[in-house]
Amino acid sequence: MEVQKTEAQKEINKSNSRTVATDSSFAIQTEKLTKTYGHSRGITELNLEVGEGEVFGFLGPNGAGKTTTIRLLLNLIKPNSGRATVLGLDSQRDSVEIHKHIGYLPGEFSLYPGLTGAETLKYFANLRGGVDWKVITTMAERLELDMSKKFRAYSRGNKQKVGIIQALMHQPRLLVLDEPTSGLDPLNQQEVYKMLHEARQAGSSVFFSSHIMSEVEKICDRVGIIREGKLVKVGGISDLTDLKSHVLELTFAGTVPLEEFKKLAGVDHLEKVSINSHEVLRCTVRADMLDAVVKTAAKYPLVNFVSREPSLEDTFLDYYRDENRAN
Amino acid sequence: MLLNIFLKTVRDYRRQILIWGGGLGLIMLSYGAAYSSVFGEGPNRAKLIEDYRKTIDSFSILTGKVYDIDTFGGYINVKIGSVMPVLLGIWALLVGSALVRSEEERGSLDLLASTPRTRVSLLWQKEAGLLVALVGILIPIWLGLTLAAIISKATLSPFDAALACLNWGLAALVFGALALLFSQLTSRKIAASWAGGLMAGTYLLNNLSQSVESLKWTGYINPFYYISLSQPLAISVGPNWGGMVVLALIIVLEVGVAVWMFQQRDLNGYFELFKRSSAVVVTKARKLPEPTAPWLSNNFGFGLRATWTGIVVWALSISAYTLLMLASFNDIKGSMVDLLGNTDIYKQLGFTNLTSNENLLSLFIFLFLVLLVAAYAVIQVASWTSEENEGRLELVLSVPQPRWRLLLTYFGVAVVSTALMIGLTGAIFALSCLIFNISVNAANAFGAFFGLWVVGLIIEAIGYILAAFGPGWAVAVTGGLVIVSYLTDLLDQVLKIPEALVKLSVFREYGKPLVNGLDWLVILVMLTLSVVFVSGAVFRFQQRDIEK
Repeated sequence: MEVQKTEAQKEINKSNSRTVATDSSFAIQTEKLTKTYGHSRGITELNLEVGEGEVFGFLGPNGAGKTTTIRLLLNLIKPNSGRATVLGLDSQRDSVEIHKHIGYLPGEFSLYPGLTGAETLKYFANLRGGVDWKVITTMAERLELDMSKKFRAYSRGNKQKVGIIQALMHQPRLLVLDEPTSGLDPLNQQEVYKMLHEARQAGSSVFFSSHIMSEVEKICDRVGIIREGKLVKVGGISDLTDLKSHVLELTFAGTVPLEEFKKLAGVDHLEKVSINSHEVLRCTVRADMLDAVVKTAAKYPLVNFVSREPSLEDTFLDYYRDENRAN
Repeated sequence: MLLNIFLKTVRDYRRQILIWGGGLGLIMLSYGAAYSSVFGEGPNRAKLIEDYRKTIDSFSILTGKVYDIDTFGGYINVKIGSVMPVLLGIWALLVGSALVRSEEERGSLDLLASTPRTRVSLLWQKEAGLLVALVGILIPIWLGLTLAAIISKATLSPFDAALACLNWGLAALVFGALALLFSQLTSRKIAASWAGGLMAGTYLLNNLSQSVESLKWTGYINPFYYISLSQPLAISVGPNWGGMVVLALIIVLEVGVAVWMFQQRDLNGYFELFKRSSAVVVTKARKLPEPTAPWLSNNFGFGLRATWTGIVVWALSISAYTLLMLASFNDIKGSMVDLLGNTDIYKQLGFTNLTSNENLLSLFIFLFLVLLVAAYAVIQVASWTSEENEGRLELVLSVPQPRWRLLLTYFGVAVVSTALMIGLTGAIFALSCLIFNISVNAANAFGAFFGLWVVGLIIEAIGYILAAFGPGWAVAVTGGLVIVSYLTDLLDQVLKIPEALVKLSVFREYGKPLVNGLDWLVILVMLTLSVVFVSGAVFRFQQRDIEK
């Protein structure tokens, strides 16, 4: 039964034909977007661009401003200054129009404890003007969600599945997801990646925050890193070479002056130990400074040279921790 | 203070001890200190006391029977002592219903229960924490009472003051433990409302049963009967140890059952006497029929469905009291007229002709009904604020609907739900009048119920505009305003409140429509103000951040 879906559906159909700025090449664009909560939290003059059809990963440590940015885009909170456009529309003035075309999953959410998963999804489907029930059941089967249970009886992962389905079920043009795979088991995480991939194939843009670097590497075209409310890095996964560093272990036959390596830019975590009468020097070196380190090392009798590329996760962690580097 | 669950519980209540204990202690002190100046020592003292006694007797439905009014203790009883069990009971039932259930609803009880201690130990430590917190509240009250007696040079021994506090404390614990028991069966909010409803009902019933012979039997099953047996502040009555022992036994029984249920049930679940055991069944999504319930189709239907149980429970609970009154109305009418005719207070309150059914029903039903409708309206405000406070508004606002529409839809639900509750109560009232052959002016009766709805409407509008500024404190402030407004209307003569202030009371503006008919101009003003408040709420809600 198509329960009273006509009115909302008409609204969406009408809006599809008139308001959304389909010529905009940006799914999201922010200009000097600022939101502060006292002195300690918020975002400062955030300039961000996410292209249409792009999967953009938004990374940062806890409290960096990821959720604040997302809530500003949704017009759930108001900026102190600056502006944001979503699908070419002003995030504040045109928020209702924007909401017609986005799917949103908050980082933490609560729903109606007395409603079953099916009732919850049907309710939200109706609020969105109706969604083909088959789409919902297919998604529920893919995520192995038993929709007959009440929301209060769901585990954390199952609650997250309800949230994911309500965000994806109406095939929105833009998905805004705050840590979408949080609480899911690895199999379901993989299924969500597939669903996001399919959404992208169908033309949707995806903007999501995450802490899981492997998923960022797997599904993102570009990544933005936010730290203490400021966007410190934006780039394609393959372009983030300056973020990448090498872990070096150099074994010398004789004595090596540590100071000479300390002087080199881009060299961190430098240490020297003696092993079997050899001096072993360990350090991390930024990719663009590797050449200088190798040339310096070549001046001394080198016995062994081991270079290992750290995981992206190590690199990001390093980036988060290193305040000077971020600034 | 973080050494164990007991100390942590006491620590959690430290602000409440300060606010409730300090506040009630100060009230006690201020009332008590004014004692000597109320009647004075002049030649008119005896007459003043007699007039005062008559006035207070006529309020016995509110205060219960009051003794030794010419003494300091009796005076304190009149001023605040008689409602102390209710005031402390409100604190206790709010705390009792949340004692373990709030931790469950927050999700922290699982962690607490995973530490090496039994559930019995966990609950007892929390219960002991509640007990200590209650003692912490009673100590400043006792201090206020004792100090006031010293200031007034009154003869009240600290021991008698302590006994009065003990009796009030036992009364509060009866309802706190009841709420704890109910919280094993249902959610925190429902447990608190069940316990609150029972407290209000039994309080009124006990006060009524003291005047109405045919209701005397209800005393034996009414905790307020046993509470009222002890009057340590009144020398002529004194403490009643039997009554206190019965109260203690009721508390032990309630806590015992609550502990037993807590041991039996699932955490984050409800107690079930007969546990259902069935195999785990996973329903495949494609086999699940598409939900087609009409109430899922929009916010309005959805919201109304959520309030349906409340509508029925409130209407039936109020109607139960109304029915009780109407069933014995023709029998007790004569004695009521005699009793009430001895005082002028009702004339001052606007009940000019106590022989008419409208006057009596207005006094015995509508004087409380309007307060209950106000309480219902506050609950509707709480229902709106809980959407944001409990984190649901975030997703609801991510669907394509403007904020103003969402707010107006929820407000519409509150208003319609109030209308349905009042309508159902009114229908039962009308039917009861027919059945029990009580003649009432039909137009005035309709006006009285319509006016009740307008009172609910304006309180909801005030609540909504407050919620637009602070969903976290709006309900408490709205509730506070309702109480102040009610007391202002009721006690303006006694407290000599300026007329301009009294006119701000929604209860004063409601008036006595069953007696005088509805003042449509006032109704129009209240409707207009409601529109203004809701418009303000919409404007502010559009502007502000949604809290996480």
